[in-house]
Amino acid sequence: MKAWSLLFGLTAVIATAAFVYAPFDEDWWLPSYRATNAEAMATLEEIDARSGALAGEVEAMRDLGGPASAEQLEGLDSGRRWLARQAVRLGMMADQGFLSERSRELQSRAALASEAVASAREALGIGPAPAAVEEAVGALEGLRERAEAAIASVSEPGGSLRAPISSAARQIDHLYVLILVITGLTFVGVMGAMVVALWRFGAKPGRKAVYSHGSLKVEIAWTVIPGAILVFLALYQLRAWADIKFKSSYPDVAPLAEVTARQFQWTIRYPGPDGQIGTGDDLHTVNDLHFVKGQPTIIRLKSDDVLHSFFLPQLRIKQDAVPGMDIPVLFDADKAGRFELLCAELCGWGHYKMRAQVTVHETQDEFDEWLARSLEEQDYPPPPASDPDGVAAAAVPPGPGVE
Amino acid sequence: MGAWRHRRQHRQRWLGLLTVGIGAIALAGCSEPEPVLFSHDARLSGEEFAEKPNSRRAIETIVDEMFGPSPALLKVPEGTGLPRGGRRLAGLVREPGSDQVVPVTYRPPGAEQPVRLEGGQALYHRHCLHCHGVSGDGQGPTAPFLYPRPRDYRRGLYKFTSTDYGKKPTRDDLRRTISNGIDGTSMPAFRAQLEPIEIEQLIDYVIFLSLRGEVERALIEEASFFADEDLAGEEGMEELRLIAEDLAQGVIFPNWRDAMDPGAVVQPLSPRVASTPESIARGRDLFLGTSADVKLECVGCHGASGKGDGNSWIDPETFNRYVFLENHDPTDRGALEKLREIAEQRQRRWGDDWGDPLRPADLNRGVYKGGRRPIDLYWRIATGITGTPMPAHVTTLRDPDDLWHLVNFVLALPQQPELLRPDRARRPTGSAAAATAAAGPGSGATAGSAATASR
Ligand SMILES: [Cu+2]
Repeated sequence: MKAWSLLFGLTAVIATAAFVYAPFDEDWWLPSYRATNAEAMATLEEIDARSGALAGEVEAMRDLGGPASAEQLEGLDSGRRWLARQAVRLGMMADQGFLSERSRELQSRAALASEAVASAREALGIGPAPAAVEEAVGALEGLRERAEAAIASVSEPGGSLRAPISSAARQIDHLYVLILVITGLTFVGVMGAMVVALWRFGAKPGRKAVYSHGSLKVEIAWTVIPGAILVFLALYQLRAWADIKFKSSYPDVAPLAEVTARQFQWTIRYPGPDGQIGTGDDLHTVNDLHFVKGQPTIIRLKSDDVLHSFFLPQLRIKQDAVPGMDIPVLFDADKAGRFELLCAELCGWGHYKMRAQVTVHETQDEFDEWLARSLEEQDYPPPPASDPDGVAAAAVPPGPGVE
Repeated sequence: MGAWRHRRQHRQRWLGLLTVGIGAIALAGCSEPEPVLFSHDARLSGEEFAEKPNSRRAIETIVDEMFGPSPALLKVPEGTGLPRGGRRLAGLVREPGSDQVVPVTYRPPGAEQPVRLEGGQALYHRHCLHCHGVSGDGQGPTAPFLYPRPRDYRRGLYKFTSTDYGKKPTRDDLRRTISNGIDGTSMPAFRAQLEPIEIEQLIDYVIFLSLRGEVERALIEEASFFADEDLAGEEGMEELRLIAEDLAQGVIFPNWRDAMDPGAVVQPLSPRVASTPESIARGRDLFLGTSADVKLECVGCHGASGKGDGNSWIDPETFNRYVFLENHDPTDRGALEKLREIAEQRQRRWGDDWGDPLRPADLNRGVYKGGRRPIDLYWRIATGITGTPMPAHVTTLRDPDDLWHLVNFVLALPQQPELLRPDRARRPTGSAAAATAAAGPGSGATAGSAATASR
């Protein structure tokens, strides 16, 4: 009896601890949307921190009596080199489609700051140069501010897995926490009740255990209360289900793309300039999904072979792809940056390879730029200039017939 | 009391046994795994060498000496042309002139700290081996279940190249294949799973396996000029070793180094031609062989309707029966043997140079294995597809623009099936269906099915 009550008691304590700790901890069981942007975030955070510090360093040299010391000049030199490196990194981020507009702006600002620091160093080597210092500090401050703004557009403050960054995520996380609280409290309560019952009604020296044939009242209570809770949850979640899955509640937008799952990759087809999917000017990509921040987006999900599942973990969207069906899937994202698309249905030996990159653009312009560039790459070598749109009219006379 | 003690002793003994058992299992689990060795060409273990044990041993020894007996102990011979002498193949390398084994590192642009690299060998084992096999023979555990079969690198032949027919692929060609996969086959795209530098490492390893396979195949041919007993002693071995070195340094490695030359890429003979109805019609006439000036044989393989059912190939029904339906045990090549027999009897084609079953492309599907860019299709038509009966057309066509007309035709065909099949004229619903799709997602399904039907 002692052992049993110890076991139940310990389980209750561990459950309570896990319940208090787990959901509020940072990303320890799934990669968060922050982690998928890890490299870019590290760059931005480094720029944010170091350009501020560098600005302070330069500022301190404004009112020097004479030329700066060799040590100070060395500091400026390493700062300039660091800025040049950041410009390269930012250029790569822009090429990868990570906040391409902001990254490109940051890149040119980093290059400007690098130049400003270089000319300040030049001037300070000779004598006091308040104007050059002023300019370098201004360039560095501007860079820092922009980096901060870029961070805010990608990540919630301290953004962990819990931070819901899509409409679906807000509803689903709310339900998740609610159900966790209800089941958690029930679990701890039941464990506690069992410990109490073991101690109060068990056999003790000089006393027999209490034997009971049951109590109708208690039985009704423990049937009706859980039943009521389940009915409540069933009704309460209807709204979320309807918003995420009911086609009748979908907003009136044209599908962004057709996503076809196949063993073992996602093939994606975007409408070309004519706005229609299934025509000759479509853009075909593999494992590369792009859409725009803050816009409700619909894709049409198909499968070429077996069951797959379209899973955007950071956006809390999951939808099975069924061969022979064309399923619209609705989602959105509040934050730009990069996310993951995974297959969540064991679909064969290469299931683990079914991972695609999702890029959320900050503006429609960024998306359009990406689309235009990709279409151009797909249409290489470029068509001759005399052809106005590169698309032929369907005006060829029918062929000579089938054998 | 006695009974109690006895029970307790009994229980202790069981506990002891249990501990020993679990320990044994744990130890077995932790023991060193079987070393993975490069396998040798199946011909060496077959009938051909059954009576020639010395030749077999000599060939295997020389190949192992040259390239290492296993992926873990791989050696990169001098002169392969692989970047940094092939250092990127392994995760650990021995520093030249020292005994120190150090991890291969790489500094991404802009980063302060170098990052440790896994090496092409380790990456290949994780991502490629299960289809392409340890030694790149295309016989990995999942290979028998796939159609088309995974590539066997050991011949050094690659299908989707920008170089002339039969020539080695460029690094760009291999990079495209690994990054984008091969549409319509089981080769997936790896761009989202691998870093650019990792793709480079894999390219190195694939080339390494090709070099190894080609040297091995060449040695098998050379060994037939030796009497078996001549290769028993060190003298014969030394002679064969010199031949191997000559072949590798004189023929096999230079072929690959040539492909690294920018001049190896076939540049279009004329600038791209706009996809006008006239150009498409000219392409169709060339395809059908109805043009007055040039006669091409496209229809013989791809068929008059472009479905890949031409008369030079075995009919699709027989092909499907032996490749897909009767081949219940995918590891048994008996059904394929039968298919080959039937095809030979009827004097039809049935497969590729690797001895795997293959059909000409169905051009109506809009699936382009080697890429869908106009330049990709240009290369397919101009230089052919190495290892298959698809020939190079660059010499057959007098007007270089004709290549572009064919490209335009092939790109237009999936959208305009009436080009070859007048009965399949697209219903004028295309725009109407798309309009309803744009109007509301509720009607998305109809638009989708219309698009599917027309594809
Ligand atoms: Cu899947």
